[in-house]
Amino acid sequence: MAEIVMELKNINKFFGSTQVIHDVSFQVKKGDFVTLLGPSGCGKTTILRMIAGFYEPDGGSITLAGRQIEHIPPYARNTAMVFQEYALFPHMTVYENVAYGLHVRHLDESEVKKRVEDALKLMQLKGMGDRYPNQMSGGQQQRVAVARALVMKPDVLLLDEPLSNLDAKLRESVRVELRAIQRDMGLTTIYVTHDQQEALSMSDSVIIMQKGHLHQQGTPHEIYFAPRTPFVADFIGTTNLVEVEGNDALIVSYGDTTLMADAVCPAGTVTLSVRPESIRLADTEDEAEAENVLPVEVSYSMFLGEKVRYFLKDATGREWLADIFDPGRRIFEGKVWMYFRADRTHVITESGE
Amino acid sequence: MQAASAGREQTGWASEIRALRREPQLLLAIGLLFLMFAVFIIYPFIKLILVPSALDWALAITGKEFQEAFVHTLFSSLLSTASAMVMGFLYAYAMNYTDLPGRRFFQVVALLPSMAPTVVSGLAFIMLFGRRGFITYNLLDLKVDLYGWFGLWVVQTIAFFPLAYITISGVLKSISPNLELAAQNLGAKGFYLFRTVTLRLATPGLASAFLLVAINSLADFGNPMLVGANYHVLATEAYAQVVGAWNLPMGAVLSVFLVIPTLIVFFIQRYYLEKNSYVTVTGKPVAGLTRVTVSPAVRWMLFAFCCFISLSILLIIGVVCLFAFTRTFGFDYTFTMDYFIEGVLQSSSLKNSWMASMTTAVFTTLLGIALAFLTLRRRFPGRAVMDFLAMLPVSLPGTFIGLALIMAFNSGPLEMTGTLVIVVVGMTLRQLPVGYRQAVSGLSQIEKSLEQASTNLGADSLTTFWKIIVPMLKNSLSVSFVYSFMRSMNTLSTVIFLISPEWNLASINIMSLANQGFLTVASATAVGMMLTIFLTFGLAKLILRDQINIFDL
Repeated sequence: MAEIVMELKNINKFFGSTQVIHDVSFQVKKGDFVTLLGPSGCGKTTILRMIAGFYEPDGGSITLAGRQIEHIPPYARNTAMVFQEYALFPHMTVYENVAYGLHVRHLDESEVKKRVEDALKLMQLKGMGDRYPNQMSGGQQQRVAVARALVMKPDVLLLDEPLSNLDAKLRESVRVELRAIQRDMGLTTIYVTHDQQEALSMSDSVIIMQKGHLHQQGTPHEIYFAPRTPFVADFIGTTNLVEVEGNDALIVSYGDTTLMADAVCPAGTVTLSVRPESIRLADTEDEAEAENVLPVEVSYSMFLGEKVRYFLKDATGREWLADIFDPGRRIFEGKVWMYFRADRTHVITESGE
Repeated sequence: MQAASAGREQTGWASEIRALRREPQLLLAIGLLFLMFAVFIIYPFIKLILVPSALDWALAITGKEFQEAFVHTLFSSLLSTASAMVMGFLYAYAMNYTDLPGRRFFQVVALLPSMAPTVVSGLAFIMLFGRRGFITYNLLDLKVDLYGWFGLWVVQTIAFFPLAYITISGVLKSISPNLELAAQNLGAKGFYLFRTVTLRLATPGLASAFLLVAINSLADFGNPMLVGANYHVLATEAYAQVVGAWNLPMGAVLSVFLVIPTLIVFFIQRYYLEKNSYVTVTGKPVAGLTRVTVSPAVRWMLFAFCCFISLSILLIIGVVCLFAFTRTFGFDYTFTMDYFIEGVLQSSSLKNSWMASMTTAVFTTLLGIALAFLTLRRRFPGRAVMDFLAMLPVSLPGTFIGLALIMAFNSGPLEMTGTLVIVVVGMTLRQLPVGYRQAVSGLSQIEKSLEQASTNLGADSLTTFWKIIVPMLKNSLSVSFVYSFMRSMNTLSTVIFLISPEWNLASINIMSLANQGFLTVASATAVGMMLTIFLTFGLAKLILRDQINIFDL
């Protein structure tokens, strides 16, 4: 098991009298790619800035590489950051930009030169050292920003939505490349984004935040299939959240009928998450081959190419989403039966507030 | 998920001081700046207020001639400010909202008078319309006396027109054309568009411009001296008390009277207008959009108006040149270099002015950027006080600053009277708000993330300041350099009490020569002054290699 290189403990932060971070704690393993994910205003950037030292937490501690850093000024931490808007110094060439932090450290000029050139080569910027940022495309500027951070060999690399200014195609390729470099160098990385695709595809560990609360930390797989709060279930992908009555058993009551969950449900109201892609449809009850079967009516359907999305209404009047992949030419209409397997459901007991 | 622990942001002195203690250089810089303010602003002003006795105050308040001067000051400065503003607005509107032919020419001409002290308009007035004026006496053979409030009004209107024009032009430029396009898109046009959108958006900026011009004209000293005749104003009264009667305390009282209206104006501007300003600098240049919103008739009226103003300005400069290079203009038209040699080449005053103004420009530029960096980008106790003190001199009449400085530094360990140092101190105080303002606006356009990137890469405040802030603000810094140089060269009221026989200045020479009737040498000195400023700009452009064109300001 890899060692813990960074730990945030009970971090709180206020802007004026508004609390923007509520008691956030998490650990980061050496070499891991950890993503802070959440909608805008959830506090993810604030966390990143506290790690970089631009904000001081109003309570709690941050440990990095064995040293408590929350009261250390930003320039004395080794937490190189890639800014969302790149923040390249417009009056310096690419080479000078990348060398800046090394010059500040008064490194030997030959050492600086070697490290800068290595970083430029790694980011496929070889031969562009004499250019100024405004002579480069957005994608190239982004590479310079990454090179400038990498060259510092930071204890933790901080990335603040670095891909948000790139177009969709470029974003895809930079994502793959960034992850490969990070893995090769074994760089511990904290990545902030509001894009769940990015988070799921790149991370070793994802931290979901909302309104300053940490909802869940887990692998992309855990986050997707075992969300701990309704917010996480809803934020990652799409899901049907159904309130059911638990009974310290696998069977829960839902309206006049019962459903079978994936785990024993405690007594009281709990939330059951069922992903739309886990639901199947059939014309008759006999054709439904799963533990959970409900009669529904199709409100309407949308053809999306690889799948058809159905909006269904059950006997209680509740709306369900169902995605039927590889649909062929068959479109269901009117009264049908929907069914899903118990092991595809997920019980959520926490409210998250 | 645990419930949030109670608490609030750790603000206030304690945490700010804790943060400062980690950066001793920053602490040192802040300390030095506060020390500078204490020595050069707070101490002299307290001294100035304490010097006059209760009797002096009583005498000044009850003295009939002083009451008269107070009323004169308010009346004449408000009148000339209003007329300069109207002219400045029409001119600026024509430059920014029409496609008049010769706009470039008009723009350049409008700024020419700011290359010379405001007394030059008074000087030209005497030469053209005075008792022996070229137009009134030689051409029209009139024996009129235009001295007094009327002459002063005309002269001050022209003298303050450039300032009004530059300021208003800045206000109009900062209105986003998108808003006017939106209004046009919704059907507004012509005067309706002007009244409901343009004027409404410009109003707070116009009010600020009015106040700026008013403060300058309230405190102006040279023109009331030259063409005011028996129409005494506070600035000339104070001068008469100090230099004529050597009654320093009375001069101090009068200059405090002068400060009262300007301070009121300053507070109105600072705490009311700035909060109600709609003008936002978007930083997004709207390319290729010309705002042609006037009808052809209005367009030609504006064109005629601009021609009239430009011709008046050229007439002033022309007559100054003619007087400078002919033996006795109006009577003997032989070309001569005698006056130029006497007023410029043999006099040390221009050299002194240049040295003092250059030094001032360097100081104000550096101080301005340092102060702006601290007040905008660092948190420390007394930040608001620092901002206030840096802007305060804008509201202080030059005569007040000058008097306060001689009273504070004519004896004791910091004795500086009779040196060029005190002249530089006075000029620097007066121009500091210009440098500070310029740096603040430049700095607010720089993304904060650039500095954070520097800090994040290991640079402390000082390194970030020199390696990132200063180079990025290069253009903005050269503007404030050029500006404070120009204004220091031209200032009269600030330095009138600070000069000494060894350290005379060109602006004062022009005024006193004109006052004593040596119009030719005064004109030659004014020409020398304009040439010096032009040559210095050329030189600065070569050295700084900037993109700044002073006529685009």
